[in-house]
Amino acid sequence: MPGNDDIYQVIEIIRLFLKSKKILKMYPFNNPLCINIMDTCFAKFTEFFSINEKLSLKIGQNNILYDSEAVYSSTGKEDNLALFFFKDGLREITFKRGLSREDLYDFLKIISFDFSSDSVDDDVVTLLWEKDFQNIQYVVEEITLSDEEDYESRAVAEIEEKNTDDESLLGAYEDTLRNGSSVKDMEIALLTDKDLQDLAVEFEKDEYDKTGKLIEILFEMFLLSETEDDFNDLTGFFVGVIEYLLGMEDIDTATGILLKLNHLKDANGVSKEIRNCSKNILINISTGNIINLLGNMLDGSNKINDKMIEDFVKCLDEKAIKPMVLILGDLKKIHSRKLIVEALIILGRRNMDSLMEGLNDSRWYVIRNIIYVLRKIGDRKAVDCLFKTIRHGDVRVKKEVIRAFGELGGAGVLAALRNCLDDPDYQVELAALTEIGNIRSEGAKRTILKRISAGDFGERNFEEKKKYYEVISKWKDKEVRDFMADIIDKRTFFGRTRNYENRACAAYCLGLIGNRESLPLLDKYRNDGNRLFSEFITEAIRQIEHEKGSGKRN
Amino acid sequence: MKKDQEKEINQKARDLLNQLSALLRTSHVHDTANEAVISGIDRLVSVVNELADDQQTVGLKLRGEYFYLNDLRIRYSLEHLINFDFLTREFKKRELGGVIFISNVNHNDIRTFIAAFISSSFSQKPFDSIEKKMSEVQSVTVEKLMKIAESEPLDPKKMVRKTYFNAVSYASGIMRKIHTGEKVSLKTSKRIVASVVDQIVEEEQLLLGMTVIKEYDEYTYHHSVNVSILSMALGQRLGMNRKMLTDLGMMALFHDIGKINVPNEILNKPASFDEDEWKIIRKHPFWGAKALLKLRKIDEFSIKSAIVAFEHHLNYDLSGYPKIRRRFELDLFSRIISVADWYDAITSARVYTRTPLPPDRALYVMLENSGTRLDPLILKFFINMVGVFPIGTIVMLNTNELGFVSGTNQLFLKRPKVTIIIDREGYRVTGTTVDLTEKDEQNEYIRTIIKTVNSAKYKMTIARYLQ
Repeated sequence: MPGNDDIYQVIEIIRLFLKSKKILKMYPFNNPLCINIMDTCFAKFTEFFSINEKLSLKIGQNNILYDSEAVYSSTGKEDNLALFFFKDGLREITFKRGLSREDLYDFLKIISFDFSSDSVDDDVVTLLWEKDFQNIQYVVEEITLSDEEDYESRAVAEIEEKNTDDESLLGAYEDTLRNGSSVKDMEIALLTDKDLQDLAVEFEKDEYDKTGKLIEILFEMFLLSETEDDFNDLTGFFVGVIEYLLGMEDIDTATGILLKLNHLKDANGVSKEIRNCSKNILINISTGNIINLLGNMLDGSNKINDKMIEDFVKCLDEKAIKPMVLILGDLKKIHSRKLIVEALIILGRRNMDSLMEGLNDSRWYVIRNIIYVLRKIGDRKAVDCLFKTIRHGDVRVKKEVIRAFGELGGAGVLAALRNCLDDPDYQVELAALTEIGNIRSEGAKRTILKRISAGDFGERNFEEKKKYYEVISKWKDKEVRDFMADIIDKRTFFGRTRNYENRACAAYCLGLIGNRESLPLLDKYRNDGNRLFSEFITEAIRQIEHEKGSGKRN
Repeated sequence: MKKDQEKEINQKARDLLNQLSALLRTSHVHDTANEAVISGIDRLVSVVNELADDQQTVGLKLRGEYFYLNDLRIRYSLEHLINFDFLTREFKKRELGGVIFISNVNHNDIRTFIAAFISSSFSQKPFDSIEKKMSEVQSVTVEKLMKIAESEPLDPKKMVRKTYFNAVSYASGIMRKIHTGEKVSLKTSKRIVASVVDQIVEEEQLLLGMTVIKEYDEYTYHHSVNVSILSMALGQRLGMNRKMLTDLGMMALFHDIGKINVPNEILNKPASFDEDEWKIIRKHPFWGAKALLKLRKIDEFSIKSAIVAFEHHLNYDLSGYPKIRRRFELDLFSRIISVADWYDAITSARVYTRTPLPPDRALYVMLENSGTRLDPLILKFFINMVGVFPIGTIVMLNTNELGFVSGTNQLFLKRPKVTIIIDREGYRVTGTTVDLTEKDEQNEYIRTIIKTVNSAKYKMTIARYLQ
């Protein structure tokens, strides 16, 4: 019978198994918490082995016995350590003195492994078996492995019936004795060092990833396919391989496949079935699952080849647009978002409507990105859709729409921008003003001149006013110069400060226009008593003179 | 023990095993007074005493299939495989479980041990013979093999049989499930293959013996298991670790999965195939790759297994089927499984040949295809594994006894173990096994194979003896 101390120690070890199982599932193995719990467990074993030779645990469905004492019991199905071992057939585990720290760590990693996934072929027993621990032994019950009860007896009985009878056997003996031919002298070449070296080379080659080989085979299978089912299956396999490669962060190989399929889909000299199947694969690769994997890869990897991503995307179907818009808002890295935006610029050209659906996304930053993509595509078809987006509640979205309006132009754009000039947010107004300036049409000019002429314009602060004058200066024509001259000459009795601000802005505008014909007018006010006005006059003159000196003409 | 120290001792322990193995091989051929034997003894003395400086007592012990130096298991790599294998067999043959060298071993002590070891092979009780002769030597003692000394061993034949049929039953079950589109888990197949790997390590000859029986109705499933066993046995000879052996076994188990699409009336057709039927048969690698890729999401297993299923009839020179457009090198596993598949197929009255070849003739045929349809390097290892007369070959001995090969001999490839089924008087007997390396007092071999028998010609089966 084990002493009480031993039992307490074993109970503690079991407790540490359970704790390790939880912690190792939650954190990477090199996390200090994991290392700490594994070290504690090893210390407990060391203490136990200072007195005992071995620790042998008998596994029941709901309990674990040390000698005949229950050191663990649970009737639950979740987190039941006994059941965890028992269900895979383990009936006894023995830890022997000499158990190394590394082996114990490996054991703890095995019991914390997530066996629930369908793609896991291992159970506790196969993992223990693969490790081949020197000081951890186990007993397994194998009765559950056979699919058919008593298959062995049936098979044995089957061949018993076919056993040669004595008469035939003796007949064969007599015949061989008299007529049988002598054995040929087959020389067997014994293995040499060279053979072992060649074998070592084969083993080395075998260590490489075999996905490339499978891909070669899949393309061969293309040529061997005969039925619709064959081609449908191939479509699934290619999609699966691309998923697998993206999971492995191997974009280079994945892109290689897509480029080849892209070539095949339009290639001469290949069957219609292969062309169609290639097309289908590319469509099926352009789905949410693949795009999510692409996103995960972009966020997770530090060695992304941007050119490969571009080539990959070029092969995708327009169906990829929607899932790409979706992941755009989930990506964590700026560079990942940038790559997806670039991808959308490529794909969006093929289906603007699909891209523009992204403008309904609930996330402002996604919408802003889509508008950016639309700007880069440069198709005026987007403008109609953006009239609605300009009413978005977020200033950042509005500003992006205004930029798009400015760049794309088109009917109704000026009116929309004009409306934005009334936006309560100055940033929006400013953006609209800038873009109106970029349009440079007569209508745009009139809009600004009208705003400057309005009664309440003078009430704006100086910087705001200055911005309007700066924009109108882009028109450099006589009408604008005359308009400015009128403002400069204008004197008032009331509101003189504001009037001086306006006159200073007009001087600033003439300076920006840079026409020498304005010099006499400006010279006239060079020594004006208002300091602000005279400073802007002087600066405008200097600017026009400088333009003159540099040989520029208006 | 620190890692570095353990590594150093492991290296010395490997030296010890290599020297001992080389010395015993030389001593099988030459007398202990021979120059080559003398220098071998000196080298061994030097290695033992060097180890004794570190360890005081050097205990070289065989437990299961592993050698231990005192309590440290000696781990070995590919290049030591042949020596380890040889020593394991020689120790087991003599029920020798360990040799303990106590410090300051000298030339004469080792010489006495070698002489005792060699001469014990002619004794009925080899271990007792060694122990008796070593009783006069102080610095070297021997221990009996623990399995024999301590407990009643489990019947290895029964265990092997259970493992084999377990595997076949599983193979038939999983193939039916795949055929009907049921979801399958590969966890069990890994367990099955792991148990076969264990048996390959411990009872290789018995397990290979199970592959010789070809008379089952459900041959397709037996064939898959046979190819798996032969591949793993070959993989072991190639020096594969457990993980690789398991992978290889799994791939081999599923290599013919495409045959589930071949109608049974074709598979079980008693006559030769016509051209249309061949067309269907030749599709099975393509179907197999498809079935394995459809089994679940693409992962390491599906990739490797689909490659093997697609390539196993392609041939080393790619002259086989399916016909491919671009040339590529066959995967190592495909080449191994291809050799095992060939051997099992041409020794069976099944799909590819309605007249099975006896095992020894099958080897001739395979050798004729070395370098063209079969990888010459892998085939060389295979033939060295199965010997000139593979297990299952029915042979006539120079003593006019008829028997079948029931165990091979790695050292003497033409002198396997033979189970006698008809004695020299022409009477049917129950099956005593004799070792063809046995010599008489004049140092002449007692029995030698003079003829082989084509079992198909006489419709002979040796199943009852092998089970």
